[in-house]
Amino acid sequence: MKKLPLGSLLWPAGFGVVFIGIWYLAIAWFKIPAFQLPTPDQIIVAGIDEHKTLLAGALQTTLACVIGFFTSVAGGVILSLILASSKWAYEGVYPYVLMLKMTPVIVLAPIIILWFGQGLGSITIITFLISFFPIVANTTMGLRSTDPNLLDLFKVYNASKRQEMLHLRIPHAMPYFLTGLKIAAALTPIGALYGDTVAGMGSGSQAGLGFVVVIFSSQLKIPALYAAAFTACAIGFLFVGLVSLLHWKLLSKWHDSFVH
Amino acid sequence: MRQALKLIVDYQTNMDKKPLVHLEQVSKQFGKGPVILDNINLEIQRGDLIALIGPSGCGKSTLLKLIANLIPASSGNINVGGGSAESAREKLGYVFQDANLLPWATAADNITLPLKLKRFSRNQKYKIARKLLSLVGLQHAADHYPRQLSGGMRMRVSIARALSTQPELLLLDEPFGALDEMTRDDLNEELLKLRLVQKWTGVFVTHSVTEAVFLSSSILVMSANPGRIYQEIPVEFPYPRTAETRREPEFQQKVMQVTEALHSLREPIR
Repeated sequence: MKKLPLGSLLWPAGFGVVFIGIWYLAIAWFKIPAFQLPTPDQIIVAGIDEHKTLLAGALQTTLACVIGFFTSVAGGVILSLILASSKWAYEGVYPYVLMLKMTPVIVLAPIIILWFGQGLGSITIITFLISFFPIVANTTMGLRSTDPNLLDLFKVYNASKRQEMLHLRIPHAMPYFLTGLKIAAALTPIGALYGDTVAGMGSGSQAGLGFVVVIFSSQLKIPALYAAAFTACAIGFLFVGLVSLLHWKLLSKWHDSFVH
Repeated sequence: MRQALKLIVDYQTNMDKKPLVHLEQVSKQFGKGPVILDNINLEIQRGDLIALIGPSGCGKSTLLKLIANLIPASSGNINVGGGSAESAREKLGYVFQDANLLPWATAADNITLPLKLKRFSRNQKYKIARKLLSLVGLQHAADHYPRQLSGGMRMRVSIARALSTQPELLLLDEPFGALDEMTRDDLNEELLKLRLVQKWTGVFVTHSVTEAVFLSSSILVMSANPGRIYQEIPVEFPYPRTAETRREPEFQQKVMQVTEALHSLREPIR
């Protein structure tokens, strides 16, 4: 087990300070107006002023993220298991999974809203659709790419199909699944925020962060808009961070991705 | 009573005389590709340790897979232990090229994998793992993952895994091919020591003439395109063999004999 590297935080922190310095200098030097690029302190002040709206929005978006993420993980894993368990299921069903992937969610959104109306329902479905594919694609690949020599080993010892799945295919697919999970975790907030902008109107006072952004931009609250961007970024970090932690917990002992 | 006893003795001697592995006119061809193995006839008696050696492409590994029933023969009969193919698997241990361990399982868990698949209890598994780990000298590495082990240690785990079910027949597919010569010699000696503890019959594939002479009771030299058994060379030195055995002139002579047999297989250089 390795310790989480605290020393490596020093470099990004240093660069952050330099970056913020350049930010202030650029505004002063090029006389950039505040409605294009506010200073960091203006953004912080706006964030504090609007903290109730931002927090409520963030909470609502996180809720959509959590529901969308977990349903896509559950659905993705179940579909992957089905796809990996028989050749005909893979060959028959996978093209349709691809089709769903190739259809942009932006195009599907109006149809989804038509069916499920404005609000959390449609938003989570949009989130689900965006996170679903990387999980299915990666997990299926992992389940189907088992080393033939290890399959022979299981055959020599008369392993049943179930044992082969449980003790060989699933553990082998773990790194693939977690890679899919990481991609999905990064996409989930995007799905939820996009869902907010198109289906967030019905939520009333419980508007998600995406809808908050729409309101801020129409009101020309530019520093608050930047504050909303940073809040969205934090949600993304939260998700990816949690998945990375899970990744580390499950694989650090044996997988090569943790050899340095 | 005496009558019955005699019957049992007869039965046992009969059992012993019957070959453990019997191949009759076995051929193998993948689809419409070239013939890999052509008309192989082979009898392996209990207690034999047979080496398969020959140029690459002579079907040594294929022959091993046929015996293990991992792939079907194109024609001919294969019989292991006088029973069905299913019951034959119960008697089988298989050591693969390159250790072939589960990377997510510890050494102990890798060793007991066959037992897990046969639904042994946790307690039984633990006992057998401890015994085998000490047998192959890896007591200290029980909880290590494969990536923390050296090539030689991984191979030891792999052999211990194959022995965990106490097989009657052990098939080894180039088990030490990826190891350096020192480690290979050590493991050769250890393998023979293990055979004193568990008396299995063995068939192994190798590219090393010295390894073949050191380990086996009989060497089958195979020719390629198509794979055939070209020559059988018995190795008479008594077991147990030790590092000393390699230094004896008879050993060197035998190595020469096998090498010459292999050279005579070479296609003439144009």
